[in-house]
Amino acid sequence: MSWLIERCPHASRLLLCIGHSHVACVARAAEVTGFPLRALNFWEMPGATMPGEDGPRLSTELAQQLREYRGPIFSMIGGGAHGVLGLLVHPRRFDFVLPEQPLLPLDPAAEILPALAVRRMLESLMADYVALMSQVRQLCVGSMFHIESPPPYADAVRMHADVPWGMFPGMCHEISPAHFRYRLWRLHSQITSEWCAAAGVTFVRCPSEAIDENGFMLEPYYGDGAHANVAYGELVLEQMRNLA
Amino acid sequence: MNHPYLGIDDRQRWSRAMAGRASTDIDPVSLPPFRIEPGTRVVTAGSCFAQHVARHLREHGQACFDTEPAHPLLTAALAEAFGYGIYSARYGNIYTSRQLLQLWRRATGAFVPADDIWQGDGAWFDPFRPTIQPGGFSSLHEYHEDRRQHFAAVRRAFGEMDVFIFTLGLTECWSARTDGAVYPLCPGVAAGHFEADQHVLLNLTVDEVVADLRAFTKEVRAINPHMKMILTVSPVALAATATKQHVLLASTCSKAVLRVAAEQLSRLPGVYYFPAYEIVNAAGREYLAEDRRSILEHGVRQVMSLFFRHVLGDTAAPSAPAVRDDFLQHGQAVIDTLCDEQRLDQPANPTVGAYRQEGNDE
Repeated sequence: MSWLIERCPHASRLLLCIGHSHVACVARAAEVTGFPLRALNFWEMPGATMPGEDGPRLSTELAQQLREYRGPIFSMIGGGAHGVLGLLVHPRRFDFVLPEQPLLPLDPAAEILPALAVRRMLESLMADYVALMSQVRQLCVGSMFHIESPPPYADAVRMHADVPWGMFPGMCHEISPAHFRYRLWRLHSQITSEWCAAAGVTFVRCPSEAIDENGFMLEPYYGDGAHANVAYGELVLEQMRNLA
Repeated sequence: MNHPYLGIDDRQRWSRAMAGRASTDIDPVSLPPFRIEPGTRVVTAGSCFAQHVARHLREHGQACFDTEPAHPLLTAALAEAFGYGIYSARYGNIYTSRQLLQLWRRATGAFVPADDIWQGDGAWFDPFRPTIQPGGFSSLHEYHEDRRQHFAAVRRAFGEMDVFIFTLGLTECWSARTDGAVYPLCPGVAAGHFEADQHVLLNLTVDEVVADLRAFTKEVRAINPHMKMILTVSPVALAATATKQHVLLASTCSKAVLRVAAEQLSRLPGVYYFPAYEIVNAAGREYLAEDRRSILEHGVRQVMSLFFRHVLGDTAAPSAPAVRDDFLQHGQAVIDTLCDEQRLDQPANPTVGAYRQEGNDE
């Protein structure tokens, strides 16, 4: 299957982004604005990856297509591991002190885990995505950019309403405190940006227009508990356009 | 003729208790005044040999009273690296009686050392647990939060334990000249800096060890009056001595001091001496590794088998099966569901040819 060429009538001037669910808001924004974007969402590409010894592997077909692609590649691979670890409150509440912003308020009801231990947990949740990013980097002929995942939204009540809790009977139905989610997002970005620096990939911070003074996502850009909306996607598209 | 040695028990006579016996047949353990029963809250501490004690207790179904347990999201390797699950709380090895007493006093606020934190290589280190946090604490705030939590765990462990197993390891320790605070490791070894004008070598005497442990027992029993204590002396020789003598002499002297102190303390009510040191040493080289210092696993097993036979009640409670933490699966399921909804909203063909923004519509 050709993911890159056959369905792209304007292949010569399109931008390519590849990743997981965070691709969706950017793809919708491209549709709204008419931006020539080829958005590859692994969720929509059965067979594009396969299990490997050290994590998922890109299929031979996709690898070949990426190898032949000459333009810049924008990665939105992964970007949800911090949500897996901390969107919900663990039955044994935990928190950690963010090394770069140690004075952020802590959850007073939580036990404090070593920041490095939390980082190691997060790294293990990100490992499969980093494996994919590494392969894309190796295949990428042109520049590669990685788009930071959207910042967390502070209002847990609003987020709570967006989760279909009925699908998850018997599990904790509490959204974690905002500052805890913010810390995990920062840590996630820290890990990702360090990987980018080592791999020669440009790490693209989230659009400054989308965040408030405390680093949380502004309401106009809220999508659901884990994603941003099309307005946020438009801001990212603008970033991509300026970088390409 | 009549004399006190006539009619003594076989175990009191070398020719019958020791001579010609296999190491595994030597049993010098005396009858304990109390036993560890299922449900007994056991706290362990001490030198590195104490880690073996705690591990074997766990494997035998006698889990220690863990007041600072690893979070279930941490893997076993990660938990161990951060000092969880080794002892009842994350205090690391406690090599000396002075260090033990100091831990209790620090945890209760009775003693606040002047030299309370070390900084280096962009991290902060606890002088009294310099290896507890790989790479050190990432910020001063993290250090203080962790220590506040740790002290609470220490207070609970010592304040609620039924039996305290303490393995005496060393008499040598380094101390701050200003206030007498003792360090588990000489400053500069794992973290910090050694300064001859600030740090001084102590080599505890029998009286000092006894006084430390008497004070510890008295102070803990003030809030936990039923606490009982099992003392052992580590059979592991000194790795090095800062005294100007051969390490073998220093090690022998140190163990002798600790052994005599343990003997004196075992005469106190609710204190029992378990002869781990003797069990290993009676076997000569048999239980020692090539370095003549490390105790081989079968030596540790022999010590612990005698411990279980004499000190543990008949039926140890089975180990509680590890509770599988499915939190991450739950978290993944919720995120995946939200991702599904993102997919449902995705346009049929995300590639749009007509880019309408100004300056891009070629």
